[in-house]
Amino acid sequence: MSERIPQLEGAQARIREAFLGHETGLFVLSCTAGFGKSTTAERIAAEVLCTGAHAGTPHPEDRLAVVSFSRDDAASIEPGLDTVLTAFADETVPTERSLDDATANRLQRGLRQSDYIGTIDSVLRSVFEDVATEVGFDEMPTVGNEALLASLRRDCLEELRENSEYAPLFERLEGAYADGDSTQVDDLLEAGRKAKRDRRLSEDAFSDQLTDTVDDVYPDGPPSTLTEIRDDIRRSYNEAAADTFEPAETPEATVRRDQECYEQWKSCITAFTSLVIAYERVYDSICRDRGVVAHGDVAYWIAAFFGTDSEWRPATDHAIDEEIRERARQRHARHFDTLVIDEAQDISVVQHDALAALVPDDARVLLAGDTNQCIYGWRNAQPALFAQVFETGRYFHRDWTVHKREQAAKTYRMRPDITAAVDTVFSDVFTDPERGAVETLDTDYQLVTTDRDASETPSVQVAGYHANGVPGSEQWFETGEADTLATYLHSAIATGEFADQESSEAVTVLFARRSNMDTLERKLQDRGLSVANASQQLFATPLVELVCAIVDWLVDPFDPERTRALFDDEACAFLRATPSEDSPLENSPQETFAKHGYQLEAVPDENAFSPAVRAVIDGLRALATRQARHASDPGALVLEDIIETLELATDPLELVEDNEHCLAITDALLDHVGEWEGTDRYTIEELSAVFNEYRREPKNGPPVPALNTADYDVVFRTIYNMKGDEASTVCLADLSKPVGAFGPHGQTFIAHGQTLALAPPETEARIQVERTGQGDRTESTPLRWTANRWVDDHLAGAPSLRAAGAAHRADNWRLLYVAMTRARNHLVLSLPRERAGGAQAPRNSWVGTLHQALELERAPPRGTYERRVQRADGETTVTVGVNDVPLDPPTVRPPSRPVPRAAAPAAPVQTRRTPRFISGSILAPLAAEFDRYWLPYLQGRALHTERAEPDETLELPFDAVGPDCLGTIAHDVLTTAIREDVATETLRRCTGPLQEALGVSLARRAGTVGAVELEAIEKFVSDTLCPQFATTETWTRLRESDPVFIEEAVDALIDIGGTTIETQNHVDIVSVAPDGTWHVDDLKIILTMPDDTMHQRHNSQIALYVWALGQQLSHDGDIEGTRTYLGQETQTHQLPLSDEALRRQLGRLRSR
Amino acid sequence: MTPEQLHKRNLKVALARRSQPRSSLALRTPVDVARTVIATQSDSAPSVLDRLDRTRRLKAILSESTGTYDELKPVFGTDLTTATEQIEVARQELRLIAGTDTARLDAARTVAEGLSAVAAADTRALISGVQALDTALREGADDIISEGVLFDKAARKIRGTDGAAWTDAYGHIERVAVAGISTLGTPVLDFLDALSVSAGIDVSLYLRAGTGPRIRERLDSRVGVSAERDSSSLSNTQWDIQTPTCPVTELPAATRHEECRAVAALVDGLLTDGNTARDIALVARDADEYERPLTRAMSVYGRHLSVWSQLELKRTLPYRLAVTTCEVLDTLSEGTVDIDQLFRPLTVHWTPPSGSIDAPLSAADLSGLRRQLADGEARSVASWLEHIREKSGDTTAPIRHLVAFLNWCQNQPTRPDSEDVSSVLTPLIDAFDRNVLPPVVSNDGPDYTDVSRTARAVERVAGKTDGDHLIRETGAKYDDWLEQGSVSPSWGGVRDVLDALATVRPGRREHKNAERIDVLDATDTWLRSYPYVIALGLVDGVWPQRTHGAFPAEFRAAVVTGDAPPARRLGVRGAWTEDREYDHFADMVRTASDHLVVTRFREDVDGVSYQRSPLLDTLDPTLLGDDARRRLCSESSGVPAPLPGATPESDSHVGDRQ
Repeated sequence: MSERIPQLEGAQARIREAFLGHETGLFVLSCTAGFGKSTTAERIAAEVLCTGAHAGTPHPEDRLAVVSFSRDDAASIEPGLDTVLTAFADETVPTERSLDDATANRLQRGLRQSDYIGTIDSVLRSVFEDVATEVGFDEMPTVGNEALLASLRRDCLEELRENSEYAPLFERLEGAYADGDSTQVDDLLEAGRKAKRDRRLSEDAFSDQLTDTVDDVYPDGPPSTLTEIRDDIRRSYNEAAADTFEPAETPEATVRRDQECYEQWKSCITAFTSLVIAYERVYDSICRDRGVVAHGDVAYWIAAFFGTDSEWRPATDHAIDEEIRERARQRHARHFDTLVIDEAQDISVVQHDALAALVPDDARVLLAGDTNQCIYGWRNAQPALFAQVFETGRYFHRDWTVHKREQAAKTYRMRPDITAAVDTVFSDVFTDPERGAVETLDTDYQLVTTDRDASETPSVQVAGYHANGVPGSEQWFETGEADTLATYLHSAIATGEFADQESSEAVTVLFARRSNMDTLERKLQDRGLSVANASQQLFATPLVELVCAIVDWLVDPFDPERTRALFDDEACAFLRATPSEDSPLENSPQETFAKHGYQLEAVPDENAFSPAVRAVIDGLRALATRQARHASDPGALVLEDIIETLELATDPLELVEDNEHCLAITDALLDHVGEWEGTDRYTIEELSAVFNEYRREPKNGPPVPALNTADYDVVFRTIYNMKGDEASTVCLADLSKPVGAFGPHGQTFIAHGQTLALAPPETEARIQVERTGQGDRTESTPLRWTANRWVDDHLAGAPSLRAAGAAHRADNWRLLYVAMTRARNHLVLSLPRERAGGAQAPRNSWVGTLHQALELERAPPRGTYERRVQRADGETTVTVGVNDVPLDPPTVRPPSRPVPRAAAPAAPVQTRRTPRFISGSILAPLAAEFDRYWLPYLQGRALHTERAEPDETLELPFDAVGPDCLGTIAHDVLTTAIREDVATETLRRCTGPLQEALGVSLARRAGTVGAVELEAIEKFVSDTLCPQFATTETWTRLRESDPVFIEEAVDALIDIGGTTIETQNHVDIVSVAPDGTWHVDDLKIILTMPDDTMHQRHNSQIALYVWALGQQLSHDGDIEGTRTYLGQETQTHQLPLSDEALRRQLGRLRSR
Repeated sequence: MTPEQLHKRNLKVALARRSQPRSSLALRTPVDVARTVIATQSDSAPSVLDRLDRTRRLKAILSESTGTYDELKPVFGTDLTTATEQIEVARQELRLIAGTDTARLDAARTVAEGLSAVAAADTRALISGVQALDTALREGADDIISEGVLFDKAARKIRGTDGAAWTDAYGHIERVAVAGISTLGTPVLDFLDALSVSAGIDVSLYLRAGTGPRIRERLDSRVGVSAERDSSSLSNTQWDIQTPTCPVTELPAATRHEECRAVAALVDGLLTDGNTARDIALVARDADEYERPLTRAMSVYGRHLSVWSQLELKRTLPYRLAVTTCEVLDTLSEGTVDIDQLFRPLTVHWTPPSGSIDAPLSAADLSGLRRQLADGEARSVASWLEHIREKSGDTTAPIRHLVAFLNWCQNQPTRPDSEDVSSVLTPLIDAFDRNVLPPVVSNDGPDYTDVSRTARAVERVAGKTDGDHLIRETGAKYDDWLEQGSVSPSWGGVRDVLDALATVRPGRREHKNAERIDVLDATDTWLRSYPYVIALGLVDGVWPQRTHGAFPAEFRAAVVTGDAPPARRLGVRGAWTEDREYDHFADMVRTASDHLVVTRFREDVDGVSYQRSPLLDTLDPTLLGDDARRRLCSESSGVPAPLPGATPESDSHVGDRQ
């Protein structure tokens, strides 16, 4: 049965109709959050497949690409298409072309194989596999490993620094911006390189854009007079500021300094540009050497390789062959015959250009997006591209003849009151050029209609707190907001406030950033609620930090300096903890180690530590001794060793809040390292280096996967992480940070929107327009750099810098829009009860805007109130609940989830040892001395028991050939005699085929030994063994027997204590005597008289053969086993065989 | 004949289980048989190039023949030598689908004509370019260049002698059965056809559930209808998957690790319930992928696995010892070595091949030596000895060990010949065996995990028994490559050969301890039987894996589909179709006699969702919910229904259906 697929309607239906009605063209769908644009896009894509299949296109799925920007969105594309195709086949959803089950199945299988369904990064990576060697890589490089890239970048810059040509430029920048701190300049250069690449700027364009900003700041060039400075203030600030401006120095000095600032600024830009260009070249070169690139580089290389602009052709050591390029382009272009891009507003210039080079002119392209949801401006997303295509139909560097567009303001997600609240806030914000109306479609904000029914209880609720401190500060959150919000959520969850049909869902709390998550988590847990943090960074978790510290230590664990560093590491606070007063211990572990000079082996291990610490220290000691193993194991195995030895999955140091989370962290760490290593092996030094990179910048590393979130009361996520998703109840927390915080005014390099700018040198005196507030960058009012200051109705600053500030703020407003529109049924806003100005003025603050939009000043202290709002279908009222939950909520009992066995200490070893295979020759020794022979058994070696030296009278030198080899040679000859059925006289003389067999065997098995030894062996076989065998009863019997099997495999399965094992026997001879008796014969060449042990060993061997043969024969009782000794003397023993004795022996084949 | 080595083993076990003698049965691989046929005719065993040598020669041909193979560049890129591995795959695929027969190659070209322009151009270039390369490869080689050519040659011998070549080698063989095949390449098929037609031998093909129908349907098209060939002489029997005869339970988990923990809990429950290790098999499409997480999950219960996988030789101490020693000798031959590199062999337990030192340096000793001697300088052996004399007041045991190593280094040849490979390296591994392995035994846990792995590695690197031994192989290969001039006479050259050979891992095999739980590749379950089978990773993209190949996807699809007669003349590579995945699945299903549990995960570490395997659509399993799985994996709970080993009380938990 197919899942229920909603019918397309309105704009959804119209864009579908337009798309399917054209063979080629550009179709743009701009729609509000919750509109179902992904659903629409999937439906259209599925219909394209359906139509293609109907038209007889062999594999229509090969001509379709569907991409999205985020991984989560992309992951749902293929299942979405799958569901629609099933619905088509089931006829639960109508389609123009019917689809039978078999075709649907074929299309679904094809889609799962496709490389062209996924994130834009993954699709471009597939293309790059075809191109990598053409742009100078030896093979497909590793893509997106941030740790490798971080060390690569560092090495690139180090290489440049050592180059005499560039060293002065580094000095210039470090002096100007970093007060000598090289890492700040490194970060600047990397930001410059990335901005240049993501925008696909040529070297000149990059330089020009930076210079243009200076010209924008100094529109008339460097000033000659104070009046000219005042003119610039007038332009950047306002009349009043110009008039009241008082220079800090004399007018002449002020003018001179501003002139110097201009000159130095340009000089710094020249240095910066030169270094970025040089850095980019070295970067590309080392990327090729090391086989590693960033995702952005992949798009860059594709755009460069396939693009038509020769300026962009990558520098390689060979000319690009046009035929190769064209063939590769065609190979991929066919997959873009139909291209659907979801979240199209997030595409960056370089991604756009990479796709542009591949999409054929006659393609059908559907772009679905919403500029109001573009929140990746800081990652160089260019919503202006989407806005432009909507308005003009120009995209992929071409004007599309067919350009159809639909704009829709309808949601299928949010309840009416939530929609109304969103409208109330954003009809102002998104039409205000100083807030969200930046790089959006050139239309007014459209009020949204909803498909959802209203609820009787409030859908919009406010957890109102009393503010304390500076908005956005930790104090504000911790002392004002967190308690109220925690109590509100506790009460609402305990009383079932959010309960409805979807009550099993956890409440999702969204944060703009992670900084205050821990505080709220603690307060919720104090109230008995369980919290899953779905936005935790793996390398910021205390457990992983501890592992990182240990890995670093394991590079040389016996080096006291490393041990000292381990004890000093932030992650090892438990090693520095002073014993509590009631503890019998006197010193902290660190003090104990310090006393012994941090020499691991010198510290006594008894009673110096608490049990938990002692267990860790014992574990560390054990790990330290495994250096050899760690030198051959891959990094992931070393990590496993650390985790298991220290039993970290049991969280002995209580670093993680719950067992499952602890397991998720260790699992994720192992998986990531395994994935990074692939088939390579990280040495422990390399592993340590990678970890240090991630530990330094956890946000570059992976998150901790949030598993089984339905099991928790509350789930924390960042708004970025939530994009593309929705939840029944969404609570927005920690909203008070001013929107201008972290804006361009605090940055030295700006790449935002259309602006590229490098700040004037910090060493140059910057003119402050206002004399107050100097020293605080957020409050300062520089003339020549961006200011976070409102002047009249706009931000102060030169136009380009002001635009960057506005773009940054617009990103933040869109972030709030994305956050509010994730909720289906309940939207909870954590807001201060008091309305404040300044930093909380609506234009500066989410809180201020929400306060104003909801008219929160009218709200009762507790209860509900109504806010009249304008809706698409007329004016209506929204009921807003404020602290509308009981103050004294019932106690919440933490859910009793069973403790995973894997989070408890490992059980003792249960696995015993029993040989899987047993042969006659190893039965007796293994049964007699199991532990002694287990290792040679595992190695597949002969289990030699002690035996006497060969009898000297035999005159066998045994210089090179041992007794075993001699036995094999003799065996070759004697079995030839039986096989060839030679005359007894031939055997006695070792002539004819036997002589030939002896020669062949000697050559094969003893070809390299000396002539004397060879002759001795030959003589022994021909003159001693053959005549001896000719005289035996065995020979006589065998001559009369028929059939006779040589080297017969006689195998059976044996049960030993419930465990089935296999025999692997090769019996010398199996035969049937004329009287019908079966015989098993074993020929032994003895060089000294066997003792009882040897006799017993041989007897066991034959007993096993006889038993195994008995299993194969349908009758019982008439199998005889015979052992024939040749060599030192001749003996034939027909053996009395006891099945019970054999059983006893087999029973001993098991570890005790 | 069974193409897979482990299938031969499984057949032996099956016969032993049934107590049936093997006297009347010769178990061989098709390659062995072809080789014997040729050897019998020429009195010597034919020499067949291995993959390493073949790709080296291909690379040499590509780099020496500028312009000759330019038609391949639009497919593989400007520098063809960097694509040698892919080109070799394409060469093998072409041989597999069409052999060397002109008519079949024409059929392949005809198939290409029906494709899109770009796929047709790529395919044409591949057929033509690869064909030319294949010819060049044959012309330049004294040896038989591949197993495909071996089959061609054996078939020609048989046809050319009217079957006498077969009778000379295998006169006692009455009939031939080829079993366990998923891919029937054209050269093998030609060889079997020669047996059938020219030698008059009945050849039966035992096909598999997924790939069998296509192989059967195309037999006549592929070998051609021949007056001499009785249509029944190349007969076949096909298995179809049947509804499992035992209950089936499906157990989904969030991640692969959780999946493994659930499996470990289940295995522990079964063993606690009185079953033995031999009653249980864990099966995955690729057991390798599950080895680490399963091992980790099982160790919590004190249980251990026998993963039927190849030894990862490069990650073992004996291999590291051989390689790091070569690297030190190589660096020293150039002049000086720094302390980091000098200490690497000592870190992995270098001990002198002879003398009184019989234990490796401890990590603490090495650390102490490093602190005592490190000054950032690289030195020659003599200079190191001098430095040691200056720095060390007394002659401690660690110093003596280090000096022994330096002296040993000094006594080794700087330009090793092939004999030196073994005479220098084997004694080192012997010393390791003698001095290091026993302490490993005494320090290992009762499960002997480390011992098993290290002992196996010692055998693989420098074993005394028959089989593949790295140092022995390295000596021979180094000799060849020296002669061809493709490697320099140096320890660096030896190291390169060691590295190349160690990459080619020898076959899968079981752990010799019968009390460990078997973890098998699905293909290795063929003919096996266990009461309880737990199959892991029933996830789309994992099992079945995605299809792949060197020829364009369009061409592969056209050949697999076989809509046009020319396509039906061609063979199909297993990896081109999901049918092979179904073969493995069907074998796995058949392996369970009492209960089959199929498990899967829903997302990977990056949060990417994975779909349920479509192969499961052929079963009707009872689904186990997350709550039940959580109870299974918890500290106290037993096995919940409907899993095997569930106690009747657990029935109350039934109903967790998703």
